[in-house]
Amino acid sequence: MRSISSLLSVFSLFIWCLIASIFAHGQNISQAPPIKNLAEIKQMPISQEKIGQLIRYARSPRTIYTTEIKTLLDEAISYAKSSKKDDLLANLLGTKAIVELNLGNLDAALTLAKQAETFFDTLPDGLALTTLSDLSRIYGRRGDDANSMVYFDKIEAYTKDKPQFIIARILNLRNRTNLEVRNGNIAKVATNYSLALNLAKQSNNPALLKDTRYAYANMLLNIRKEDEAFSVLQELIPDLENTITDKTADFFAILSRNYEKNGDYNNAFIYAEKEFKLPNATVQQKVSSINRMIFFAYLLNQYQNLDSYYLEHKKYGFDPNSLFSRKAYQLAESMYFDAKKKYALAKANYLKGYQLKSKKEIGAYFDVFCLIGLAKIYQKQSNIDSAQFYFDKAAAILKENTLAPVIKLFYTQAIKNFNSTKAISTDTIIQNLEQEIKLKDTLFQLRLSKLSNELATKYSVSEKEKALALAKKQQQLQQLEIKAQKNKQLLFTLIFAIIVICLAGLAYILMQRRKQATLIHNASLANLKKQHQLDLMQQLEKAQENEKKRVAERLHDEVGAMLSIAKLNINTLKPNLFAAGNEEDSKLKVTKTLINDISETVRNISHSLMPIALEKYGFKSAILDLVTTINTTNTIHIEYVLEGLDNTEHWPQNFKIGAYRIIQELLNNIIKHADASHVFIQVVNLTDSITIYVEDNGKGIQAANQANGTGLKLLATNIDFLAGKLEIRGEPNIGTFALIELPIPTHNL
Amino acid sequence: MIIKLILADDHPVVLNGIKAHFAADNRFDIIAMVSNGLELLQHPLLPLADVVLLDLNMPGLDGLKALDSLKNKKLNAKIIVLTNYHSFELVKDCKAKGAHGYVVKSEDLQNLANHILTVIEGKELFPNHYEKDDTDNKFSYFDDFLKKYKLTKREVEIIRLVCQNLRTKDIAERLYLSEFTVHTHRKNIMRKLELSDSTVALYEFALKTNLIS
Repeated sequence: MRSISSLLSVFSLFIWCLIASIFAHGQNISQAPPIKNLAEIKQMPISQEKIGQLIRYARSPRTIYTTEIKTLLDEAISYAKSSKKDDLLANLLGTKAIVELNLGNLDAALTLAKQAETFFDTLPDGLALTTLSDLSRIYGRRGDDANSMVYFDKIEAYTKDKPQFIIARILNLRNRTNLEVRNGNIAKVATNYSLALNLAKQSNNPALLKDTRYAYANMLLNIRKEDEAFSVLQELIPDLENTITDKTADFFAILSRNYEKNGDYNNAFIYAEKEFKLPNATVQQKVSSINRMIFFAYLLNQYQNLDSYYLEHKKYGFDPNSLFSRKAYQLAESMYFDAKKKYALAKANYLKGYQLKSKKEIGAYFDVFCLIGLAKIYQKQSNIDSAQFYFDKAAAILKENTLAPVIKLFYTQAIKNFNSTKAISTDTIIQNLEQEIKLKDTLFQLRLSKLSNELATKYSVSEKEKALALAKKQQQLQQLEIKAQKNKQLLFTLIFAIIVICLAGLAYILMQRRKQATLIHNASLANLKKQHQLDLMQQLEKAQENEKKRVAERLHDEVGAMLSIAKLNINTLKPNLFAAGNEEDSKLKVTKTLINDISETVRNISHSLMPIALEKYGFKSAILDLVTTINTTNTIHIEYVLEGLDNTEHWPQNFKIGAYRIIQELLNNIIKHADASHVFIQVVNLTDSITIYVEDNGKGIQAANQANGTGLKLLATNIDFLAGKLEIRGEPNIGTFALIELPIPTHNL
Repeated sequence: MIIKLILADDHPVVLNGIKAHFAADNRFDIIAMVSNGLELLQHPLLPLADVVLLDLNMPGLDGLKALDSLKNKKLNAKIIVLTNYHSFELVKDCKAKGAHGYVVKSEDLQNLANHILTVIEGKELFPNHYEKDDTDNKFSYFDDFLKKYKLTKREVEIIRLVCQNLRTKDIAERLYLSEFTVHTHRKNIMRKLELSDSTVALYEFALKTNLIS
């Protein structure tokens, strides 16, 4: 047991190197530059890069550990502390722990690794895992199995659902199994390793799978489970010869022995030969394998290389401390002579082999071959009794010991052959035949069962794989579900967000609307106020107009009529009522003139108050009157076009008066200021507006002219009041034109 | 013979003034005085009147409407419109409605008797407002050839440019006018020619009148 545990501890060290190399390999992939040597690193100025290089160097499996690395690490640690980089600090502490571990300072290593572990929760995944593996490694080296186990568990828990750490998980499983085996617990080997193998298969990393298989085979070898080891090794066969380790010889031996057990002497021979030819095979292994080679060659009747085998056999001799070794040696010796037909020597050696006995070991297997060998030689020499004697002895040993069926078959075949030469009853022959058939059958069954076992194993493995795949699928499905759920959640969140945004938007819009509504309300209120004011103004205006009209009418009609009668009376006074030239006569004359003047003035006032003709006889007539009056009373000549304007009754009063006054004003302006001889006026009645165009050949209006400035201003105001447009342009000594467009209001202004 | 007069005026001052004026004149006999048109039309003595002195401005049925009705009655009476309004349009109107004279109260009342006699003689009496003869003036704003369409020279110019497929803007630029002015001219042209608002119609017109070839 001690040898096993020492073997295991060496083995675990090997695995650690492997982990390190796998990790280092992984790092090499991600970080292109190769690891610098220590001298190069030392020359670099302190920086993240330097520290990175240092860590890689310190963790490389090829590193030779010196205190110098420690010094550099301390420098890096103080840098990490000062720059408050926790990740880096944890990494450095762990790295230093490994350095201390390799320098043999187990306590310091543990302290440092534990310090690194305090950052565990904040570390990124890879680094956190490193912290755990560092600790498990340190505990392992300290022989603290309990704590090692704790960390194996932690790593398993940590890596279980993280596919990116599958390698770490497998190695951890292996380490854990090693520890369990070291503590004598071999119950979980098979389950642990089948899990590890499956994970390795999943990882799609053939190197890892192979390595795990080797580890498993090794483990099986160590716990003396040759049968299981055999099936694992079978998987490794093409690779075994390429990957030679100190275990390869053992593996070949296992293969050879197992094939032998199954009666497959060909393969048994091949692996024995391979074992023998291994350069690193031990003397013991050489002894065993060469003897077996002769043994199988004899059984297979292949004698061509027997002489060279015999030379080797002689060269390596035997292990004097091992009865098996000695018996095997004797058997090989005998078989060689047997094959060479040196029957005397063969007999002597068979006998010698058979007679080798010790108290502890029996070596029944060899004894049977020795006895049968002897019997066969006697049979050949026709010494039937002796032959019978030895056959019987062999039969007795076979009876006493449970030996492999293959040897029984060997015996049966030999005895059958013996019986056939011996003239004995057919009963015995039949009996022997039956036995042979039975044995063959047994052997066949055995092989079959082996095969079926293999099949079963393979089946169970594939089942497990399937289960694993299923589990994986389920996991994926779960992840998908989680993803879907996340998506759903995201969707919900999104929808919620959208709703919130919509609501916010709605609220905003509502608020805005409200604001707007308030604004509109205020505006409409203001508008209403304005409208009201306007209405008031218009009403006032209307009232004013009405009043003006009333006054104008009364002035014109009543006062005018009265004045007319007064004038009539005065004018029809008797002529020469007063003496010509006397005071009364001149007073009368003055009165006549005065009445005429009053009459004229009243008419003018009345007209300016309200163009009564407009009201009474229509817009067009009023304009025509205006034009005719000017044409008859002034030197100025007006040409005119009045287009339409026949149905102006529906025009609002204000509009009619406004338009009339505008025309009146334009013409008055020309008469007063333009110095023109010809005027053209055109009023066109369009569908919903009238255009007024007045042109003269006067001196040309000038906007800056003060004299007509007020007149123009009044004109503009009047046009504005009717929402019209005005264009007026004058050219010196050529004339002026004014163009006005007035929209006809559909309702009273 | 004594000329029988009926006075129609809503102002008593006028009625009484004229009555007083003719009181001493035995050539005239004022047989009735009414204060509105309706009263006049319904007056029993209306068929006897030789002359009706009719004020235009009366409440109810005014002078102009009364003229229409009087015309329909086919009276013998001559009608002289007595009014305060010196309007050529009104004069024309009254003439058309069958009045025989038009006297502006404030100007010509003292000659009323003579006017009545003139009318009785069968002459018409209207203020002779004459417009100055256009033919004396060589200058005119109208286009010589298109006067019957009442088109001005400026408007004809614009028609030509429109028919050259120029846009209002281009025409305005070419004539140093504003777009508003050109646009308004165009509207006025279409209205005067009573064309639908399409350049094609204008183009046809221009072709027809040889404005363009």
